[in-house]
Amino acid sequence: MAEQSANEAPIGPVEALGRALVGGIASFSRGISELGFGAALLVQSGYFLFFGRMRHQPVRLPSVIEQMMEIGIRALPIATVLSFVIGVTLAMQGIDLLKTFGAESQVVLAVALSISREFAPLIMGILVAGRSGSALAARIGTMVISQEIDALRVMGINPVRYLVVPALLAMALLMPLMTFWADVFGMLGAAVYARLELGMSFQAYADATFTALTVDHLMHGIGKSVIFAVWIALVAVVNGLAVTGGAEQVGRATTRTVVLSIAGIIVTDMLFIFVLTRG
Amino acid sequence: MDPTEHMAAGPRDTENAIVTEDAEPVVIDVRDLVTHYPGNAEPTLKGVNMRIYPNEIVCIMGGSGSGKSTLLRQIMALDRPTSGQVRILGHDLSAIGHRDMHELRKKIGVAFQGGAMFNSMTVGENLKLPLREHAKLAEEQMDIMVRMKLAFVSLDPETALKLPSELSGGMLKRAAMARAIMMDPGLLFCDEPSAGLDPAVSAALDDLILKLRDVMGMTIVVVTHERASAFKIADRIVILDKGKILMSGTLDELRATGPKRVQDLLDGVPEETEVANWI
Ligand SMILES: Nc1ncnc2c1ncn2[C@@H]1O[C@H](COP(=O)(O)OP(=O)(O)OP(=O)(O)O)[C@@H](O)[C@H]1O
Ligand SMILES: [Mg+2]
Repeated sequence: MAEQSANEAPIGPVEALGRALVGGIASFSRGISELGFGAALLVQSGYFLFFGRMRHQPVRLPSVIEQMMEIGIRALPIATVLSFVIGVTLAMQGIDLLKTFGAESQVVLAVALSISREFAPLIMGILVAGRSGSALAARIGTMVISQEIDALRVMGINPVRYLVVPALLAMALLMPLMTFWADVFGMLGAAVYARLELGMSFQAYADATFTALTVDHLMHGIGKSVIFAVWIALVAVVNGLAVTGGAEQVGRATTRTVVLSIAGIIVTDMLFIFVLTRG
Repeated sequence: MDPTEHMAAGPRDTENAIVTEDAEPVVIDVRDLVTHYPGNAEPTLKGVNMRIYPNEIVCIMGGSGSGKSTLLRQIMALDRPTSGQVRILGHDLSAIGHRDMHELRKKIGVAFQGGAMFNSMTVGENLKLPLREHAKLAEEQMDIMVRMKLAFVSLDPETALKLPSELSGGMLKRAAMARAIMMDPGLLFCDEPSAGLDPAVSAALDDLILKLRDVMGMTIVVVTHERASAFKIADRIVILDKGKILMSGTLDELRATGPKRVQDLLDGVPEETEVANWI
């Protein structure tokens, strides 16, 4: 009875602050230990990738390719549509803004740089986080619950080597390719709009793009995309392996994966640019 | 009388004995095993001593929460003990190197409670997994072995082409058993093999376990709730209660000399506080 009334009683601001602080510290320490676990997974993955064969734990190419199919190839239609639409959107914004300066044709430069440096890696990162990161977390979480991870271990198959490395490798290999793909289709979308709106020929658009765009700009975006890929894969694996209870925990793990992946991508992006623009 | 005395009583059939390093025919030797899960007030296993001899079927029984699964995880080398020692086939699990561990894993088969079959693969691929990892065999040879093992557990050869999700509960347990014996292990662990199955299927699984001991010469540890099944297959029954071994011996020995609590457990009389999952 006493307990019940204590629970029902409205809590004072001090107590509320105290609770929030305790909760904050708890989630902070969880975050730290998860970061540590993720880093350990990354180190282990590197170890298995290069030395696994010596320990009878080789990373098998077919499973990497299977993951690449799942992450990249099956995502191509949506990746293509998204980047095309982003390209059109940027062209519309750009032309509308630049009109005030009478510099509509500069839209090519604006689109080329913003897509290659910012939008392509970001959009692909968000797409892969939502599509493949969540799927990976759900798959691993389900495997934990159904004891498939235990089954791997008793068969002498290291789960990091068998599950984590292929997913990590596939993401790290595919994200740059998908980012480049998004570069191409984003700029194509902008070119199509520029032709309709400004009557700019594809040839002229392409020429202007190649003048504006350097390898550095492309590599800026592609380099970031590799970091995003590793981040997404690790967040997914850490959350998947943290599942202990039942199916509802799998749902929570996938949600958490998507939220943390995207948040991480956006923050990493900012840090990346901060470091790069200062260097 | 000290109930632990019964632990030494077990068939010492040296014909199929697995000779261990110290030439003592003990397959599993558990000494003073304590397992304390972090966050729990009390240890789950409070000093367990148990020996399992070659070619015997040992059933571990006990009420819900008595620590059966925890003990099984320890002797499957899935978790590390808080203190105490587990030796399997002469290897001290706390001091084993990963090369020896890898070899040891090949000699141990595990049939998990829910089957723990990999849902993304066909049953045939599931069965081939240990072979792919541990043996260098041609695809045709592996197909032949899959068919042999399926036949051994009385499943049709076509089962190999199905997905685990397409099997009934009984078929899934058989398939899991088939995967567990793919490498012809000397030691087999079964977690609740007949839980949730109808009596006919359950009886057939009991026969299968007996056949594995008699035909393949395996040493088998079974965790079970099903009293009828344990009475039928067990050479020895180990009774676990609140993290300690209450008694161990043949059914007749337990019946003849067991204290009231043991008799109650054997008769399926629930403790007042215990949910009646023994009935
Ligand atoms: N991973 C874990 N973390 C914390 N506590 C655990 C964990 N696993 C088991 N326990 C605790 O240890 C005790 C024994 O659990 P265990 O699963 O070994 O029992 P059991 O004999 O297998 O029971 P059941 O017949 O219900 O499966 C329980 O009180 C449980 O809460
Ligand atoms: Mg259990």
